[in-house]
Amino acid sequence: MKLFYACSASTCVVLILLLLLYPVILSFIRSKSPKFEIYYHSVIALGLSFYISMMLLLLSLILPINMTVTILPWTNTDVFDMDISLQFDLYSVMFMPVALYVTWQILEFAYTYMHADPQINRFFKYLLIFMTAMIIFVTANNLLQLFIGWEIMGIMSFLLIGWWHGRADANIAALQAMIYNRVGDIGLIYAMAWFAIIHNSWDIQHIFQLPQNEKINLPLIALIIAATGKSAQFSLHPWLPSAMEGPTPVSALLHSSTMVVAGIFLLVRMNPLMEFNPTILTICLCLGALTTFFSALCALTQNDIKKIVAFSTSSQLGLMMVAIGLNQPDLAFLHICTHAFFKALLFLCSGSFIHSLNGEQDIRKMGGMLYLMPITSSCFTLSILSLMGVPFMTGFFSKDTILEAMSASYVNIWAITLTLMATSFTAVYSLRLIFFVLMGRPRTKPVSTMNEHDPYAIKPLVRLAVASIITGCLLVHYMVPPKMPVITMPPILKLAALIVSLIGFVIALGLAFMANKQLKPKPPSGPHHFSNMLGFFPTIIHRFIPKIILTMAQKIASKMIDQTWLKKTGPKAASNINKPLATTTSNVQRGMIKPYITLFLLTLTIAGILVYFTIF
Amino acid sequence: MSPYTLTIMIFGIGLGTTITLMSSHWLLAWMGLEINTLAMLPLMSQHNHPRAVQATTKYFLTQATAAAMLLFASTTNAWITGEWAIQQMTSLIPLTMITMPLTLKIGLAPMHSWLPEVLQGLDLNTGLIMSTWQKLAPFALLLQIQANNPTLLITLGLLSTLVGGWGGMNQTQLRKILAYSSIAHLGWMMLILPFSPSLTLITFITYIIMTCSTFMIFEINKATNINMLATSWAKAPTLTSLTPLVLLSLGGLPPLTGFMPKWLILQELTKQELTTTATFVAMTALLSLYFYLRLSYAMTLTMAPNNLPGTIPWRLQFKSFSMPLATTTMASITLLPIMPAMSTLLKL
Amino acid sequence: MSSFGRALGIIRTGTQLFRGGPQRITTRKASGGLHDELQYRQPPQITKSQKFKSEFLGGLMWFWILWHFWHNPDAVLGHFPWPNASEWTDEELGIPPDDEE
Repeated sequence: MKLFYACSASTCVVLILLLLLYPVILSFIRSKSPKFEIYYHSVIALGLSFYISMMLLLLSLILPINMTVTILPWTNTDVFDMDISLQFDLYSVMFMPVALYVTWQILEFAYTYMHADPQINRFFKYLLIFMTAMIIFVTANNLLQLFIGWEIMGIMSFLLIGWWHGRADANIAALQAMIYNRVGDIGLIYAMAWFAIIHNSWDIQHIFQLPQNEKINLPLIALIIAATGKSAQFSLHPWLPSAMEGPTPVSALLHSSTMVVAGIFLLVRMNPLMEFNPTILTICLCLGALTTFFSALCALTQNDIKKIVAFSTSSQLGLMMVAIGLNQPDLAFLHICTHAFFKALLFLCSGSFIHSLNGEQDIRKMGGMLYLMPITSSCFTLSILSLMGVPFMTGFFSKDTILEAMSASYVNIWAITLTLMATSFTAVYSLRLIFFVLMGRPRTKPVSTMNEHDPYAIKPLVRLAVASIITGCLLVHYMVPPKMPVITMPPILKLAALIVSLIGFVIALGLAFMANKQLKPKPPSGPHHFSNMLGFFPTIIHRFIPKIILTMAQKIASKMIDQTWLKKTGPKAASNINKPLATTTSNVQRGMIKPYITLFLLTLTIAGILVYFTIF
Repeated sequence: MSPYTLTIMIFGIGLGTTITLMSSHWLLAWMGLEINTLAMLPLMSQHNHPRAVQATTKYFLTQATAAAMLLFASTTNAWITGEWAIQQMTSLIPLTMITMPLTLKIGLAPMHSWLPEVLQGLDLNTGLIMSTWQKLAPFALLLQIQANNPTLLITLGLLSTLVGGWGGMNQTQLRKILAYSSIAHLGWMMLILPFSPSLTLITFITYIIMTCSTFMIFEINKATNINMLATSWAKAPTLTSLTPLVLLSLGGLPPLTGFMPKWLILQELTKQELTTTATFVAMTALLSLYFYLRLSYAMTLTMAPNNLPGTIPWRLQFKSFSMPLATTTMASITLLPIMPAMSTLLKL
Repeated sequence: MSSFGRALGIIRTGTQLFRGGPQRITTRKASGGLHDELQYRQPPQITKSQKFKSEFLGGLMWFWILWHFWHNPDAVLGHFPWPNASEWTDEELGIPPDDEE
């Protein structure tokens, strides 16, 4: 039975990988493909892959899960073995259908958004390669496979953010993503090196056998750094809002629902290592709390619809990190899955709005979309409610559980406070989005091209909307968390998340209506600047530190070493010393024979006298 | 100048030097030097140009001074010791008095000042004779004197290398640069003379080879200052590419011939525990290297802008007799591998 | 290679039968509704089916929420009543009165 499961599971994964790569390979076989060919193949490949992964999921319902399958040895040396092996546990088996479903919808939608792009075939190939990497990443059973998936995702992210590379902003954003991700990669590489040297194995199951002592803090911190870079946690977060320079489907797929959760997924995978390590857990908790609060704060005053959604993504990633810090990796993973649905939907709806408004992203220039694009508006509202954690929507099941688990635990009160405040901020910026985009009167340009007639744009929205409503319930029933979250607690704690959300919602509503009345017009205040300028973080990090480095380069490298030591005391000094002497030598030559003869006689005399005195 | 006179004069130059080389008696040596000088003078002034005449005059005066002093010193020596033989000099004062005019004759600092000006007044062929053949006779005498004063010679040698370097830096005239190069090389020879006369001889021979090829290269290019080197690529491209090697050989870079004497001299000086002197003289070689590099740069490493007619001479037939040039050039570039043979053959 | 391509074609046909995915269309037409025209200060033309879909989605959501509230309010309000410890009397806890010697 186990053998059957192993065979079918690995066959499924291999089939999925082949299916995903088939459109990419197709372009090698054929020299020229029709314009939208890759698109059709990609959508079909993704749909089929989704059904295959669902088969795997259903199989795992009735058969044992948690299984490692070694497909074939890769490099086996005397000292270090490496196999291509896949891991089928709750995480990989469940994440695959979720990711494939979301990707499928996004790709189908991308057709509407990208149909005018001349390189549309390449665009879909990038997305497919990305998805392949994601599958490799989640099923990896050793760190090298994991790293391969991780790196391909990073590169694809770079290429896709810089898709419109004619624009300087897009290039800068792509570079930012690359550089911040490199910092994270260094963490992962460090951890890999540590495991290879100390433990002599990259097999994840072997690594879990490591003794839990002080020494393991080092690689764990490195892994946290890796997750910080990939999942845009605080201090390495600025790349995520910048990444919104890419096409909206890319933002929907990579930078909200799938790729950015890779960092959290890594920590979920590695959780057995940090289970009993309070230091590491506290670091995760504080990092997550800070991220979720800071990002929610930044989201409050943004005007770009995609930036707001991006910050909400960052905030949710922080919440996942908090769950890791609470030692509830299953909750973090659940949030990864549920978040993927409603965040992808939120992004697709934003993309739909932006596309209909001829690329307008400023929420102040939208308004009244409820009457103009009813289906998209319904989906938008629905996804926002899910994001806020309205009971029984998808987001509720994971978000509320995390918050409950946190409130009921006796960890850092500071972290709890920050997270709760972030939750209420979520309600505030959600309301702001609804208020500005959907309600009121249109503030768009008079020429409008908006419509909802394209079935390829609407179908994915509807599918994701249904998923955003019901999947949370399904997933929570499917997952039997080994670490049971607390279910008994005082009503005030049980309702804490909802209450703070409601408070935020009501306050924001009041503020919104007051803002329209303009009771006391005032220039924006300091906190507003802080939030609007993203906490001045990019200003400080992207300007101050390079400035210090450049100043030091100028002072130390250029001025002190190059100009002073290597130039002034070297060649220049030699030249300055020799020049007067050369002039003196030349000045002896004046064409006068008398001084020459005199010089001879003088030398003769001096030499004679010296010799005389030496002898006698 | 009529060919008969020219023949007689060239014969005289050869005879004078030969007499000096063969003599063991100071009087005969002096006679040889005098014959040599007197035969050289008409050759120098054959062009009847004021500058040539001026150079001849200067040469005559310095050589006459040197000869007089030499005669005076040898007479004094004979007076004190009753001995005329060159190799039997024992008294130190006459010895010093003899060394000084000889160094004046070959142009060592600080008695060097006549050399650049005289050389500048001559054409390149005569200049070649001046800086090679004319040095032979005094040089042979210096080699034969036994009990030389090392301090005196080292001082003169170091001064010469310094002056040779510094003087050449400030020059744009090729003949003056070659004069300073000669001064610097002779400085090296004087430096090692008290310790290893055979090394002095090796240095002298390699110097003659290298300076011959340099003079001949400039002769072919008809160049008398640095600017005129800029068109040499159009006249003889192959030669132009070889010239930097010859020049760097003069400068003493491995693996060229010029590295051999410097290498051996530095080794010998180190053996004599004169490490400071060795270091110092090696540093002064850098000064000379500077102007050799400048010559290479102007000649080969840059291509100066030029008008169209200036770029075509390479199409014309090369009339010059190039066998000696080829021989000396190759010798001045590639002789380093036969260093052991040379140092064995030239053991004194 | 040609046989491989044919096999792919068969698979492709099969998949399209299997699933009503996007059809192979070579020319894009404004399908399923009104033809798009450039509009200036006009409300967009919204079909009845679009209105129905949007209302249906919203209705589905509220039905889902309310239905779950009706059947499963514990998930929001707490599974068990929280015991209020301040109302426990000393007798219940077995604590003797203060003045007992």
